[in-house]
Amino acid sequence: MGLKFNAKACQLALRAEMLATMEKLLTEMYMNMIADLKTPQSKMDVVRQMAKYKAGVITGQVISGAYAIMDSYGTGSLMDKSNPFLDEYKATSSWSVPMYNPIRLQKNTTAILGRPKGRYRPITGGSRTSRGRMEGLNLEEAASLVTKSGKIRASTSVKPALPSKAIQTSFDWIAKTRINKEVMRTVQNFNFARFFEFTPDGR
Amino acid sequence: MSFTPNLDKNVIWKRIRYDPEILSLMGLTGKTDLEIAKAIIKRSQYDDIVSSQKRICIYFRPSRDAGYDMWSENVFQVDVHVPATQDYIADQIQERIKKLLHKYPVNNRLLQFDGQLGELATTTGFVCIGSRFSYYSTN
Repeated sequence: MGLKFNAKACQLALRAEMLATMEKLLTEMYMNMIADLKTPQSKMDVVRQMAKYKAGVITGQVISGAYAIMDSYGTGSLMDKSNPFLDEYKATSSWSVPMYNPIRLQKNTTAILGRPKGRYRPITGGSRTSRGRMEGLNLEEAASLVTKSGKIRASTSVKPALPSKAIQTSFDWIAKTRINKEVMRTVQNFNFARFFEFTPDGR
Repeated sequence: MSFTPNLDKNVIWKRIRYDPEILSLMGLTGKTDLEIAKAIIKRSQYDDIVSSQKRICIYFRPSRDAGYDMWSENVFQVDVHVPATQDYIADQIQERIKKLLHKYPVNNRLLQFDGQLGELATTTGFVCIGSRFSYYSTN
């Protein structure tokens, strides 16, 4: 009489369960993120990819575009400066067609300022040209919007946005609270016993 | 045990709204029903909070897959917004809310404390701390 354990079948089955758990966590992360994002534009800017297994690793992604990042981390003088992508974004001010306004870097401010004359690349993509009429002016303060010719352009004022923290909260919640609980639940509910076999001849 | 978010939210709201300690921490003792109703609300809204006001927001989060077609795990969140100069009061209020709601029966379902979220988005000059609770209902 022998006892056999089919390790390979067990590994495959456990992997399938873990993949399902990863899918569940990704769905939860995605749903919580879009629930906390403030605008329809930023909600539509989050994409969820299916969990997959490759080369011994199970991975999954929830990808946030520019609108979702701006919503989550805020904009202008109200932005959350702990944004891990902020330094990378600021470095684009040295590009030949800059993304981050170089004047913001020079003045060491995150307030939304008028761009210098020339082409620039908005964070949302594409390419635009600024005539430079509001160069260096703080667009967040309507009263200061006086052009070089002395006209007030209050309609050009831009309101900075407070961060919704949708990405940060959703990620922290899943990574620090939910992953451990769900993985433990998957392992505890997994039926290891079905991979044991009794063999009459001991083989 | 069926899906009754309106009834459930009302029960949870009343549990918090009529607790004397919560009212004391919120500075609402002796206030009118209307003032209390503006401070303890059943949705997430904080852009109209002013100066020394405090607010408790009770609202549902996306449900979780319970692993069976018949069940869903419902999740709701309780956020406490307080002026930044009184941030310690948010922790005290959350502590009291946890005592009130953890293992509390709501329409024959038992609430479970699901963890705290730390600091959340709020308006300028305020601090917000949130925590979540969950319970199961049939679909």
